[in-house]
Amino acid sequence: MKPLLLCLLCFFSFSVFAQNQIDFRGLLSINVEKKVSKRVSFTAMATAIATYDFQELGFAFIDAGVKCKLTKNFSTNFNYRFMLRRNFENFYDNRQIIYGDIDFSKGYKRWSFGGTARFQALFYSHIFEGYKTPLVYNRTKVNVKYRVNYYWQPFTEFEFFVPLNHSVRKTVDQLRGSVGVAYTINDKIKVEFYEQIQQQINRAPHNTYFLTAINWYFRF
Amino acid sequence: MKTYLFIFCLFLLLNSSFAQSKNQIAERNIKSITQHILDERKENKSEKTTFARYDKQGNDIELIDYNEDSTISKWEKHTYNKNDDETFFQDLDKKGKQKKKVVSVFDAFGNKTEELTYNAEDSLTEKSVFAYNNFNDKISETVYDKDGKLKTKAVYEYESKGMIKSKIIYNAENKIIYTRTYKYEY
Repeated sequence: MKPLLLCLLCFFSFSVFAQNQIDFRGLLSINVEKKVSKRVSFTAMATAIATYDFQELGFAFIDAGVKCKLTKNFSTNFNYRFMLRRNFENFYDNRQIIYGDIDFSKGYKRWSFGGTARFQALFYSHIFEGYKTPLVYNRTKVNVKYRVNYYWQPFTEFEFFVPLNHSVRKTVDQLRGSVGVAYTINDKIKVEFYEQIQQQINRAPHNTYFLTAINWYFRF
Repeated sequence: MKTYLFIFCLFLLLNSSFAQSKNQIAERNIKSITQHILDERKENKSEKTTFARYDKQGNDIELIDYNEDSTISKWEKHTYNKNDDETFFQDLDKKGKQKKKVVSVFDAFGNKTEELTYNAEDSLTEKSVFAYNNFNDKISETVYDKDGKLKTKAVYEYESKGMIKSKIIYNAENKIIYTRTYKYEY
């Protein structure tokens, strides 16, 4: 009886791991912000994500947007993203996303607390994938930063994804947690290093991705 | 997870232990503090009383210094906005009559944009206008007299890490009357 139970347990475990992928990914992004006034700036971002344990280019996207600082603590932005995504046949589908954020941040001594409410609509490539309804998401982020000095600022961030019009998924379907550090080179250049865990939940398969990221920021 | 929680709590604890007196006042809802100081350390002993009234954020909104004979030696009133920037300053004589008044105006990003100075008769004596670049660094401070005539203009420059590089003051004839330069070693 015992060996049978063990055998079943092993089989069950194996089948669970077979469905749920664990992948180590790498992200490199370059962000440029051109301030045209104290309130308004134009932003551009280029990002590449290596997937399958850093072996292939899984995603590449460029963003362009406009950012508006409303008050000392609140800002908003509106962006367009063009994305290439490698599919299972090793072709790249294109997808387009429009998204808008409302950002809040408040400092207290060396601490900074912030949050972002993002609404995004993802449009599928109709040529490759046939017609699919655009997928609308609400992504909410909260972060805590600690300013050690002018140069170093460790931070942690937590994000959850809520699909707003998915036919099946009606609740949070992805969680992301990050821990990293930002290094300010000068007032115009900053680089961020972070480790992120992306966990898909309430869906099948619920994959886990470990992301190592480097973001460069240039402000003019 | 426990380790992260522990480190986070440790940071909070360290942070709170270095709290400023302003925070201590605000946290305890202290409305005013009266201090009586008797100093006999030097040959001429001194005795004075000070009174300070605070708002809910712990900012001093009224300061009065009394001499030994209970007459007022200094009397000031201050008002602050929600960001704790001083928007109003009033210097009063011992009878409570205005000697000087300064009104400051701030923009949405907390930058002081104007400073208006009034005399005892409450007429404008000086107006300062401040300008900032897109990164909220002060780039100029222009001072006008009561008639709106230019008195001086100070121009500020910054280096790449946001530290002031130079301050140059021009007079009404646009002639440099003051320069100050800074060099930083990192």
